[in-house]
Amino acid sequence: MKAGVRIEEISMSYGGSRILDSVSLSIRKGSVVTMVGPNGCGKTTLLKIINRLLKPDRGQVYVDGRPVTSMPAHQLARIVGYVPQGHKTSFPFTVREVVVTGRMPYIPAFSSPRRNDLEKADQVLELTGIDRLADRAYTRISGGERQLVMIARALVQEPAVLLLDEPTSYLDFKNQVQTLKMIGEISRARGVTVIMTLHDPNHALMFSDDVVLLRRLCSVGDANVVASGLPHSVMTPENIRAAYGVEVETVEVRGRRLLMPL
Amino acid sequence: MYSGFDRWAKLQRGLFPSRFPFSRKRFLIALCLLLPLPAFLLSMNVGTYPLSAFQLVEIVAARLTGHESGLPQVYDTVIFNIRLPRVLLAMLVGAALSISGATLQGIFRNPLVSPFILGLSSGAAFGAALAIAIFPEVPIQLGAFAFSLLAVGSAYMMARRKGEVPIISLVLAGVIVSSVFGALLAVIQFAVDARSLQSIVYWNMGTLSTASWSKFYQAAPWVLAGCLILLALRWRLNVLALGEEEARSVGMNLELYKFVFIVSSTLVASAVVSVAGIIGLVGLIVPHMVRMVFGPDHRILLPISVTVGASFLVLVDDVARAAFSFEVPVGIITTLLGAPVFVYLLRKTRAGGWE
Amino acid sequence: MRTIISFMMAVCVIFAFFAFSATANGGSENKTIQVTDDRGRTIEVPYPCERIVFLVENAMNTMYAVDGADNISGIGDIWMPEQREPLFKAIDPNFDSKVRISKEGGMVNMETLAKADPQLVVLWSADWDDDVTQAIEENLNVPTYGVFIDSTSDLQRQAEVFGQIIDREKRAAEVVNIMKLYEKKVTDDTSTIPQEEKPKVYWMWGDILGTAGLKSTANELIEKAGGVNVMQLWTNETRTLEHPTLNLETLVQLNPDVIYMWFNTNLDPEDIVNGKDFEGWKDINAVKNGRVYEVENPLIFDFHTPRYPLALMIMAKDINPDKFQDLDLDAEIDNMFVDLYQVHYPGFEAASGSA
Repeated sequence: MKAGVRIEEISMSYGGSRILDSVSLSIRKGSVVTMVGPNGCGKTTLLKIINRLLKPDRGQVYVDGRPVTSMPAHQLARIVGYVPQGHKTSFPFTVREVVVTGRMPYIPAFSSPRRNDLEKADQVLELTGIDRLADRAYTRISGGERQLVMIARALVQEPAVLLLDEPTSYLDFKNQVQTLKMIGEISRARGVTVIMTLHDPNHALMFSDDVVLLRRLCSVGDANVVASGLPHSVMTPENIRAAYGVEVETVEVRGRRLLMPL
Repeated sequence: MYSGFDRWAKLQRGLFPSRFPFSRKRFLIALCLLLPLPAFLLSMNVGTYPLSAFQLVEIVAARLTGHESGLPQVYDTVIFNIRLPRVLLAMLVGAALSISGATLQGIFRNPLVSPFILGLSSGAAFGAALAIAIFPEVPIQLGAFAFSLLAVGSAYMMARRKGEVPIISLVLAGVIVSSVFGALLAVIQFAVDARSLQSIVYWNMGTLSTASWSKFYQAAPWVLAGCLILLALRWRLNVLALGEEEARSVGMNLELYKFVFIVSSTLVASAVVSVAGIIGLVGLIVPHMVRMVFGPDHRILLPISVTVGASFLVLVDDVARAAFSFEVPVGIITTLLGAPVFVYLLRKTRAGGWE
Repeated sequence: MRTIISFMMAVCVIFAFFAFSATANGGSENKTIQVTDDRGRTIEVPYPCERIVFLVENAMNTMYAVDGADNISGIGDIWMPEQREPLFKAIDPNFDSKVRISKEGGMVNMETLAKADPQLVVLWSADWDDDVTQAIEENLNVPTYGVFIDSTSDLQRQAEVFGQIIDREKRAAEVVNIMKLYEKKVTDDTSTIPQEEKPKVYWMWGDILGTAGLKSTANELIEKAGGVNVMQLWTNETRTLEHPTLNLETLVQLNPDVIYMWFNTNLDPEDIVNGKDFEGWKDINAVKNGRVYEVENPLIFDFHTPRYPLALMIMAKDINPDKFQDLDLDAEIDNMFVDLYQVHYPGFEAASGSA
């Protein structure tokens, strides 16, 4: 089994306090992996390190066996797509104009998007179900729709690895479920490795192939990763207590496990 | 995947994605791109020297064919040495300030940004004052050009940390550099005699009344080079305008592009400020107006800012040089004429295209 | 969007063509003469020069004195025209038909200037590479004469040069003699006053605490009128400037015996002697003794024109009243106007039978 993304001994400090301490993970190619954990556990930081938006103090990230630091920026952007959390802009670009910026790594410096790029943008707009918004101003659509636009923008990069930071944070209940389902479908259909962060442990249980449970570093010798692996083996009451410090119990509903706070 | 027609329609929308129906928008774009031509012809016919359009054609024809026109030599001087350089310089200045403003508004993702955000005008004013009052042997244009670059350069270096130049630091550094050069200018103004003080004050207002071929040639190469770079890279401004992290995540070498955009827009604006003084509002208002009509896509915004900016300033300068019995600083008129137009568009297109 | 680039290229080519064709220009005309202007710069002027534009009025007074009325083709702004224009109209029957070029705030409209079709432009110029000067020389291809006066000998030299330019050297020599003759009527008496008996004079420009430095015509006037410029007693090195400023404490310490005000519509001598805003001044000798004088008629008291001896007489009479009791000012003024311009004062009636 080939690793899609391998994270080796990543350490990172912010303003004197250590966020990540020697984190190592291996993520299967084509799987949907969710990172969960309390605020400040470093899950967003880890995403940004994979995408090279942040530079770790120590450690290395390999995508398809190649260290990300060895690749030029546009090369990396052809393999890794990133969807930030709650994006806004002051310009009323149309949705299509925003999505097509995802073609950046394929477009030579002194050039603009060509026919082929625009077609690809339209394809992902259809795929993500927002083609009806294509000519609307990005500033005039809902937060949830914007989230979808940013997912489409990352997909038009044609990445092998898709990173999503809290993709459900601005969505209503229905859209949360739909979006997470869609992400899973895209991953399976295109063989894309998905690494995302989620707040809701139940979403992690339901929509992931693997889960990585992280915690904040409090005392020396703590490890960030509480557990990682198949969802139901990671999301146990003991592990949740270790990560969040709250008591939960598991309930089974129609053969699926859910977590309930006590 | 698409039928032939669908495919074509989608492609069209891709090229001209907007609130306008395809044909109307395209017509408007063509109109704006051609605007400098009628503006140029009209401006060549405006002036305080009494010359008919017919005489104008006669003299231009005589010059082109190398024959004598039979009209007095002074007509030739008025057309080729007074009116033409002034009209061309006005267009050059208008185009340069507009494209510079459009670029910087995109980089800073802020509607209140003008070409002078990074201290360019304060630096230029100080450099000009230095050349007027303290070092008369240094040409004013050279002093203004050198110090405007120095001002922007120092703002950029001040904001730079660990190879990165965050936008917010740039804005703050620009404010500081502006105040420092403003204070230095005040020191000079305090120390000089009344005559030099007057020269400094009028330089600061911006005027095209002393336009000449040599000024045009001094500024044109910089403007041309900067414009070509900005126009060639203009789609990348769309990527940059979405946010820094977003730009980097699609593989943009952010600091390199920011550097190239800032250097190009600064060269373009400094070159014209050094020959025409500080003409306000053009660099703020023209890109803004164009964006209100055509949307924020820099592929369209930048070229149209160039042509509309050139036409706008040359027409405003027609008023400055011919509407009154005396010369009015064109900077004053850009403000007086530009402000109402701006307010109208602002009210008509709620929030002015900014959210 | 390729069309945009090609369009821009086309525009550039057109402009470049115009620009190129405009540079091939030049005319070699008949005889010329080399003279040195007030700034010490050598210029080459057509000889005899028939169309001269005066953007500075005081030098035009010199041109009229040397019989150059017909050689003036354009006139700039005139200060207090209601007082001065009647004089010019009396000397020059064609005054009203001359091209008027407003020089509002230092800016000259080049086309209006071209209407006068000048062979020489005379303008005030303290700077070496003044922006307006450069534009006139380049655009109109016309030499400029920079006027800069900081002594009465500058005025005499100016009269001689103007005489050369318009081929009236004999008349110019007469004018210089007239100036010297009238000046002598004062200096013959004042040169005998012992240094310690000369009153200390503070010259007050419109800015109240701005005064005549040691290198200025007003300073020379004070010396020749038998006074001592208080700037002589000041130790600050700015005292040699043309127009230094000091503070009130310094002025109280310098303690002038006479305060001599330039024509000031906002302030009268009584305001300084009694005014409530001038409490700080009451210990100054001049204020205590009520010896504050104001220039009342700036047409007569005009020391940047050949009429400067009249200013000298008026001042001498004010600061040394006992020495010049017998000097009949009205007669002297009338005589000098007749000698210089062949008109009487007041009324500007033509004088018959004079040279």
